[in-house]
Amino acid sequence: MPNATLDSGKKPDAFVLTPEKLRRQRIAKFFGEGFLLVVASFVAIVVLFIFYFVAVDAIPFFQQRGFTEFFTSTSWYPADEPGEFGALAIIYGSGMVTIGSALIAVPLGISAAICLSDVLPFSVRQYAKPVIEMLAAIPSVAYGFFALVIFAPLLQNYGGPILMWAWWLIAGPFVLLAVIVVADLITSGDGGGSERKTIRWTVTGVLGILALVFLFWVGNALNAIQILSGTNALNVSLILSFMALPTIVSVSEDSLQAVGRELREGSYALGATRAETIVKTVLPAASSGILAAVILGIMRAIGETMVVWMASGNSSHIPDPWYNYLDSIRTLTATIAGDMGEADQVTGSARYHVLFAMGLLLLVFSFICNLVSERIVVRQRKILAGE
Amino acid sequence: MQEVLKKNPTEKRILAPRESRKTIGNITVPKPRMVCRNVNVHYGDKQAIRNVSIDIGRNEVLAMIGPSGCGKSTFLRCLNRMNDTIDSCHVTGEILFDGRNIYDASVDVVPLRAQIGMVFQKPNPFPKSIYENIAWAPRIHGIVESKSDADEIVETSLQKAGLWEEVKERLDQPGTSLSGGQQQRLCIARAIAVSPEVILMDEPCSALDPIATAKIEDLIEELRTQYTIAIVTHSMQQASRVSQRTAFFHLGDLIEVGTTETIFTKPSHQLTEDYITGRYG
Amino acid sequence: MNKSNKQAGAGSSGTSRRERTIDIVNKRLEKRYRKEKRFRLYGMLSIIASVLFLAFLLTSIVSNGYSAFWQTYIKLDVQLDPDMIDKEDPGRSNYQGIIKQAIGAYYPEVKDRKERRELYSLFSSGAAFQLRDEVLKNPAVVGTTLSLWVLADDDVDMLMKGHIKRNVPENERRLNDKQLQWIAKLEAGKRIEERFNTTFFTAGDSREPELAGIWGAVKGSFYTMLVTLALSFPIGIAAAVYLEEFAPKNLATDFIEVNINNLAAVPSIVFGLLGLAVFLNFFGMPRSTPLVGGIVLMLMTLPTIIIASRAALKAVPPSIREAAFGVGSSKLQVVTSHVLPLALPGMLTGTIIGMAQALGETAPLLMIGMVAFIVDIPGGFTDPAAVMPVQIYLWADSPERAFVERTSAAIMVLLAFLISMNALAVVMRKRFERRW
Repeated sequence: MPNATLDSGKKPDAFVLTPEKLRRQRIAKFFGEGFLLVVASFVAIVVLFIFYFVAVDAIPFFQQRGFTEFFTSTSWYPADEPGEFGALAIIYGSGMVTIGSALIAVPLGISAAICLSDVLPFSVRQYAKPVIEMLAAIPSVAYGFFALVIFAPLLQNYGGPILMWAWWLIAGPFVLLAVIVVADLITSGDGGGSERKTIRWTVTGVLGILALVFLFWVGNALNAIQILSGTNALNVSLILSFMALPTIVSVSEDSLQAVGRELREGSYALGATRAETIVKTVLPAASSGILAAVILGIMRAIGETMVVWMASGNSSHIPDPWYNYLDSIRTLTATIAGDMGEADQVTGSARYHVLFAMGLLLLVFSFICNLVSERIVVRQRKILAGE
Repeated sequence: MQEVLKKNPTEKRILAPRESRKTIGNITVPKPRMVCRNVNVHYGDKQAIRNVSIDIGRNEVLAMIGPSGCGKSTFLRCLNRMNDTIDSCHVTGEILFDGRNIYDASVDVVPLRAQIGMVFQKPNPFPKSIYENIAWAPRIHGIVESKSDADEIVETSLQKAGLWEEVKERLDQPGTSLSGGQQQRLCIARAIAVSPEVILMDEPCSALDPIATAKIEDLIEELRTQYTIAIVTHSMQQASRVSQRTAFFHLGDLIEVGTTETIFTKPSHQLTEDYITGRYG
Repeated sequence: MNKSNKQAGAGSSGTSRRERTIDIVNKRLEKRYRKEKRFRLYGMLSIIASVLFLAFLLTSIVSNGYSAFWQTYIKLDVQLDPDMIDKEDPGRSNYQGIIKQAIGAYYPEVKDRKERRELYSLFSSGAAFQLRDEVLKNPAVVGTTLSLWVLADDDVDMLMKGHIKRNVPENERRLNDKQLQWIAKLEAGKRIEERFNTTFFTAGDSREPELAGIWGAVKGSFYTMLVTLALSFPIGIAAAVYLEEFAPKNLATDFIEVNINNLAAVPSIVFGLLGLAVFLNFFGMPRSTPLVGGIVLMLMTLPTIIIASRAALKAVPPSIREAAFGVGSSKLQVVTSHVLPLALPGMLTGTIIGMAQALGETAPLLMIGMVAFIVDIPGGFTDPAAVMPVQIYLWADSPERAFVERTSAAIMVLLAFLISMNALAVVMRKRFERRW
């Protein structure tokens, strides 16, 4: 073994810790990191805390009144003596507007996200993105005011024509597309030639006329509809969809961007058009992220309070027929916000606790949605990283 | 390399076979600065450095060469305990500096790194002014107390790094506003400012153009008189230009150590010869 | 079609195969390009729909609200008879009576009791207070005839702004024909005009629209935001620093991360329930105060700040940390001297965005009691207060037409705050964005 004695110039033991210094360092590290750990844990514990306190105040309701009435009855008369607490209609109302807003926001949001990430040139994207972000920045009470004071009267006075216009704008292009596709399918075969072309045009023409007749017929039927009250499920669903839109767009867009250039370039290199690349390659790869985005949008819609409180009509009943969006409904969030003022006077009664039961329902549903979307996102990240 | 070999063709030397992983050559030096014995490094389950022992001499430049992934950077980072910052990295063995094993539990790594400095592959000046880049470390170690002390250290360090003339008019500009070569010299000046004994350099010129590289190589030669330098390099030409001793690593083993001239003209191990003649790399 | 054509025409078999493939490709090309155009159209449609909706929303609010910034005033010649004013305590005198006298003096023809009442209702009930303030400010006016511009009642204001139409039948208006005549007299005498509505910005809430202002709500929002910021910024930064720089990769850290994520998923109304059950009922904190509101909102903004701060910390490249370690800094020094300063702009941006979200929240604050009608301007953190979104909600419930325009104006003010905060965040992000 070689001689390990060294001679340095200065301070030979400068970097050696005395036990004292070591202890002081360990203490400083313990307290410093310990403090940060406590703060971080506090944030984490708050969630459990919230869950606990809501549950603690929700359970007495189920102890007093059981589960059946809450989930199966539509008689909601909390102020009566004794009160009736059938929340089925209210749960149905929440579900109705959530699904309604999802039906509008999901296709709109996904196509907007695709547009932003793949279709639009950069210069236009600079302006389009802030517009979507602005929709997110508008406070819910402003949306509620708009829904109540401006949109509701509009629906009430011009309901029929609005529905008709919406029908034309949305269904029109789809129907015409269907016509062209069907015409192609019918007349498809090998080869071109002007003969075949004439046949194709005739078929398209006939189908087109049929389609236009269909569009007019439905349009006129819609035009004749009288909306009795502007504060209804349709109003709320529409406004909610624009509130959920930014969430869906931004998370979907992140997901599409995460797919990366290589996959797209591979598709283009094979001669695919942009639409084909997006629909057949990019979308499937980003599908789980987009699903997560949709779930987050749904979470946003179901948790919204102000808009539904101001513009849903707050009528606790299941519409007749069940799909009638032109009827007033009531949601869980609006019930909690609306009834708590009275219920708080009688703390300890079923009336007070039932609102916490509703809160618990909302909380549990949101947690489930969150966990599911987290799982999906993590899984997609792993898949993409592994590729 | 080829010419050198042609001048001294492989005479009747018996080269150690490729399979042998034992270190060939004299690992010791008289009055070494740092002594490494039986150093093993694991990243999780993977072993990156296998039982390496070597001395680093006083005021010498030791070059560590070898193909990519052979562990030379990993070994260099052991010398100032930079591997501590990687969670999965586990180092065993002895590395003695001033008579103490730097991996001893009683060693404070903070002042240690003031004595064993490091220059990285990609120049990484702090996003602060040139002045602050140099003055920051002496200040936190307590080496400077007043502004005049700091001024002095800044000037001395920049002069030693051969950068003073170029930047003395703009010390308040950000370090990142310099060119690549200047940034690297700034990093060298920053390392010098805390008066280290040893300077570790991890491929310092790989991100620089040839002119900047030449300036830094001249600088290394000047610095040798005051400091001990261990340099990892990808370029055999660079190793032969700047170093006195060379260590050849291969897949985590130290294959051969010797004077630079010997290694490049009369290597004793088949792997060494294969590497320097460019048979693989 | 004859396939035999293709087979026969080719020379070597390779060429014929190639021709066939390229033929097939070309045939479908047209259809594919058409699909492409339609696809692009759909994407554009959704963006256009969003733009149109946003434009519709904003224009309708602005068009409803801009008129609120003007207010109708009526010029009255008030005779300040010294007998009517108590010299000892001028503040307590019967200013209402003095105003009525002044009104009566201008319309000597109105004698009937009912008609007199209708006449007085054209003037705001706050006119008396205006007069009192003038006298208190300048006692020397006692004994003179003061020309004072007093606030008109909100119905008169609505008439002047055209929301009440003169040409509809009398029973469909809020102002009857006689009242219209009296107003016409004022117009002829140039005693009625629109002025900038400073009351809107300086007054608190009121039952009378012409006396209602947002100052109370603005102050309430200010105090609440202060509490939220003071609590959420340090906690959020500390948690983010811990998770990014110090946390070991173990189950405990995963647990913390998952739960911070869950915190972001809690619906806003549930935070309100928490505030009610825990802070108000359990701890007995005062209702409807910025203190409680701030604490509840703090819980809501924490996830935003933590996520943005973590991203900012992650963006600092490891080479900076290595350089700092290399010259011998301790972990603490690396984080505080090097990493934090570089991550700070990103953290601030996230905080501003979080604050903007909190400023617009309504539901949880309703639950902690901010539904009350609060007239006084809050002076501190434990005074009952309203915040701007709550004020908007309360006004939206009121039936008077004048409140509709005020609600819209209040939304405009709130939006102005929010837009400027978001714009500030965007500017900061652009300015401090570094290309590593």
